[in-house]
Amino acid sequence: MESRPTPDEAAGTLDEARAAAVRLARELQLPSHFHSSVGVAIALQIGTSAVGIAAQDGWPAWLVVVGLAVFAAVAAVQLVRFRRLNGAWVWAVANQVVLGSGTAATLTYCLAFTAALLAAFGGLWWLVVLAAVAGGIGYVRCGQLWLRRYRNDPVGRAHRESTVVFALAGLVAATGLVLLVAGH
Amino acid sequence: MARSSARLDPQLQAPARLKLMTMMTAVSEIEFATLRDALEVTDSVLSKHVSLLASEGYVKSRKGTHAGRRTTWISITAAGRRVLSSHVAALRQIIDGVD
Repeated sequence: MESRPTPDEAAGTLDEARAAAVRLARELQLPSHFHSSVGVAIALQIGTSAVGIAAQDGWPAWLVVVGLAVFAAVAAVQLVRFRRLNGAWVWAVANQVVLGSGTAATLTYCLAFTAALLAAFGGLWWLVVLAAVAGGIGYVRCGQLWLRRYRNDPVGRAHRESTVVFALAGLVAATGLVLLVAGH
Repeated sequence: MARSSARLDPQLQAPARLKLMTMMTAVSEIEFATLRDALEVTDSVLSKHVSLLASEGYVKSRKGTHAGRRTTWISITAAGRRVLSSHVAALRQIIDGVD
């Protein structure tokens, strides 16, 4: 079939191809406790980092490392399980849902982390917990929303990344951290 | 997309190969059996399509493991992505009645 297709043939072929991609994306399953484990790990990471940075020295400073290590372990395990469960790998799922590189997830994380850090410096421990939990919930919600959009438009979403926003948010967060620590 | 970048690709004129390539854009890498089941074709049919597309540089495959057994993982290449984009643009022009 190398002749030029008619408009009807072209439309039918394109629709069929796009529908197949959507079907594939919708058949991808998440491992058990995927969102909940990522949410808990992020909340833990926000809380431990805030407390560890506020403490600056002594054993609480190690909480920063512990929180990051727990998140890294949870992320790695869930992504390996995702690949094994589906026989497919989607970088965008790793970036957007687990690593939170989407604009909304990044901003949610930065807001929650900043709030937790300020609360920790102020000794408001209940507010640290509240900010960390809110950050975890918001982060997961952003990932769920992205997944829904991906399943409706996998071709357009699978390779769209917001690394610039991610880098900028990271820079802002790092600068804020330095200023906070210096001020302390 | 600019009209000049729209070109029908002879290898993608086969609906099954266009479907395969479009599905590949939804994932970063997919295991052979998963792709076979999703396309609802036999091993030999998928092998032929993948071999042809690989020979054109549109997809690449590598040996790996999945669920404890050896298998082949397939992914679309940057060249394949460009050709697919151009082919889809050409099909859209046909649908829109652009000569």
